[in-house]
Amino acid sequence: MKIIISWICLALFNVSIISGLILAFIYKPFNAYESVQTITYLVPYGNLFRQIHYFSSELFVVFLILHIILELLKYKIKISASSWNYSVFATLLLFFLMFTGYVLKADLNGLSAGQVALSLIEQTPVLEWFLPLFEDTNIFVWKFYIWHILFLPILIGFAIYKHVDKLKTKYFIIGLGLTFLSMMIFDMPKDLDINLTLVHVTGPWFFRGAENLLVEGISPLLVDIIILIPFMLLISYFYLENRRKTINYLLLLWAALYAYFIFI
Amino acid sequence: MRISSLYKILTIVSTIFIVLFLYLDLDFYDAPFQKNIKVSSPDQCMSCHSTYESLDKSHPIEIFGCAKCHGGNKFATNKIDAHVGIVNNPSRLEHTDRFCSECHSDVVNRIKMNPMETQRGIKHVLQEQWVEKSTGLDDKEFAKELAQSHFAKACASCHVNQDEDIFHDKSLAKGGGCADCHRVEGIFKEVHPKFTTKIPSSTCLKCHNRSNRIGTSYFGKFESEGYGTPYKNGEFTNKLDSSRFYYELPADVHHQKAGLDCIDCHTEIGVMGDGRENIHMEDAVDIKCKDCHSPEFKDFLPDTLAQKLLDLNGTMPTSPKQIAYSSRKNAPLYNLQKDKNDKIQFYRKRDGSAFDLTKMSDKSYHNSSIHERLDCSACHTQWIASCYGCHEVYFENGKQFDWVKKEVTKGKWLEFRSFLRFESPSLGIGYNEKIMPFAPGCQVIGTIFKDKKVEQFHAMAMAGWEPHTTGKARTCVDCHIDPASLGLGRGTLKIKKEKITFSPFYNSKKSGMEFDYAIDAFVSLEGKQFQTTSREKARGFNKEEVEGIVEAYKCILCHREYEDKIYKNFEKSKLLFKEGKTSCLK
Repeated sequence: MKIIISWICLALFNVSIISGLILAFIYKPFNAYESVQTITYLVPYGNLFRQIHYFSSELFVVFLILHIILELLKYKIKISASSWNYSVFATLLLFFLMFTGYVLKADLNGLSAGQVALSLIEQTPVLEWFLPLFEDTNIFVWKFYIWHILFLPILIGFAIYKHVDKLKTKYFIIGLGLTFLSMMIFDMPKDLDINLTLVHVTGPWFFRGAENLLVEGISPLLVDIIILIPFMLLISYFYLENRRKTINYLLLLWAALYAYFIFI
Repeated sequence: MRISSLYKILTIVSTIFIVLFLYLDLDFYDAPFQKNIKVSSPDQCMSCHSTYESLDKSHPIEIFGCAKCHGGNKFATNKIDAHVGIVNNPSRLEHTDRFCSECHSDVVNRIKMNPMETQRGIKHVLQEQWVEKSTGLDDKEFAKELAQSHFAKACASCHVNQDEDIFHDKSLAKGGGCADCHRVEGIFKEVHPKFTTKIPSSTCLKCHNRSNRIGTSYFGKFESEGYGTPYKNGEFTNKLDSSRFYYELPADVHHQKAGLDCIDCHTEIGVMGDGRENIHMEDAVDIKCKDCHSPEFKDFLPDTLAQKLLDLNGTMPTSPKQIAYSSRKNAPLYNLQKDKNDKIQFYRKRDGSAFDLTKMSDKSYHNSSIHERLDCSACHTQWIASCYGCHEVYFENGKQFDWVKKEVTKGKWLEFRSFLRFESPSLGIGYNEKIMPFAPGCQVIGTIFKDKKVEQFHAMAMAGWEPHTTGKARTCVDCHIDPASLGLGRGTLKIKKEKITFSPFYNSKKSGMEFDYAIDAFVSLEGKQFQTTSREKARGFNKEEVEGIVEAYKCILCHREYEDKIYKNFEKSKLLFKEGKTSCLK
């Protein structure tokens, strides 16, 4: 069962990559919102591929978390240190990839989330040096776009390649089936026109905890550290063999607290 | 279960599911080609709203589409997605920054500071008259509460951004932002409204039909007392609205002779605002009689507000040699034009009808130094509507609709009046230090039912008005020997052995009032001012002025006509009189 879930994770990643490649033919970062809407409403089956891309990515995160939980509960690690570290690295990058995708839709929520992220980077010591890697004064989504379609998929793909002992593509059908199932059950959030002023703007669900921490007056540096805590715990999980149970409790505590700030 | 078995089961289930999904649901993802939706331009709204027509010629729907002004998702081809964030009336002022300001930021900013939106004038007068100058309201905090309550429950229904949906009687509906004035068709109908710059006067009269009723007066309508005659077909006639009626009186000469509307005189800057936070109407209005009747022409420049307004109007020549400008705010009077042959024409904005302009004559009565303080309206007003004694009754435990909070709240006001009459206007010194017509504005006689107690207060005020009943000038006698014109009120004025006496008709004490002067008396013969004003420089005539005006009767008794030769050079005539060189003393 556990191995099936890990393969489904990989399958969902593949579904997301392939649907994303199709969307990339239509998406124009210099006219982002219009091109997303064109994909959604005007391009034949554009909405189908957009929804496949969205739900496969969301499911990937869900199955990945499930995969991590199941692995953590075993307390025994069969893979090498580098494979473990690559997997944590891939997880961190995955959330970054998801976030850039959220910005790329370029609606009110997307652009606002991007702006919050840029401000967070700008106000964090050391991280601020890397602001030019994310900020583009002419085309807001441009660098998020580069990260989303180029660097992050390659880096994550490489990390996954290093993490798994062999690549199996035959689970693709199951990944696609699960994606279609979620498309039938759930609705994709509506895009909000960038001129809307009377709505509550939010970032992606996994970023809302960080947003609310900032709203509560927590310093950007501390928010960055809070975001990185689970990844640091995951890394240490491998090396602190005798403290794995404690680390699990700490991860649970962190998840509970972060969930509180998501729903606050 | 072995992994390979589980894999096979999951694969088979997934494959069946994918095939079924693609077979059953694929069309759903193929909008707009499914359901025969035709892709429209410039946005998808027209796929459903194909019957809607352009707002006006400046906002062609073929170019603007719908979402540009109404928001929503212009790409969406289903109603739910398309209507996310949609705004029904984007011309409401809370939406104008988002929708209108891209092109009309100047106007949007001006209208938000306009007294017709801010109601600063009403608030200012209420504060001054009720809180600062009233008699009987010693608790100033309570007086302030009363003024605010009265504003919210009586006055606040009229402002540009009022919510028109809250009016039960749709014929009385006001508000809606830009639409309040510019919308001419499609109000509360299932068609897209039409906008115009040719604002019909009926739009102005939605609000300007009370207070001193200048809107109705202009059209010769005087509000009657409670019913309209003649009684026809089982009901009253001459209705102003569902509960108010009118008499026919002489209309303003501009309406009588040329059928002019409000917008023919009142300019875009005067009505929409000049960008300043004006308090009172007279601060906002920029037009003066002389702007048309003694106009100043300047070269017509293309690409200016004048050309924009001319193009929008579309009924009159659009390339005049010169146009007139208002003297106060330099607003273009684009309908007063001088053509290439220097012919001056005044155009009616509604339909472009041309009229020859009557220029102000340079006869002595217009240039005489003795009349230099007179506002045109002091002489050229045919009649004025005067509403005396506004009885405001407040029930603290009652409930009434609050036009600010838009809900029923505690406290109820009832309004009555002593009497309403048309008359030759009283005169006084106006806000502009010119002699102009005065009428009650307002004479508040309040009764407060609070905590099983009854309190009373009064705040009696007169105000200078431009009555909008312009016509031939009043006679000399009408002003100089009429006590009402002098501000003394109606009564008997006697001059015996050069001593002036006056006895009023109205007896306030016998009428149950708490003051001892006649309700229509602004000042006494001794120059004592009975009633306040809400303008710093406005006042009734003082003793010297009253005596000076009345003293003229000596001349007027014989020289009754304006055209009389003694008025051609009155200073010289006076000198001759003093030197005994006239025939008067013989």
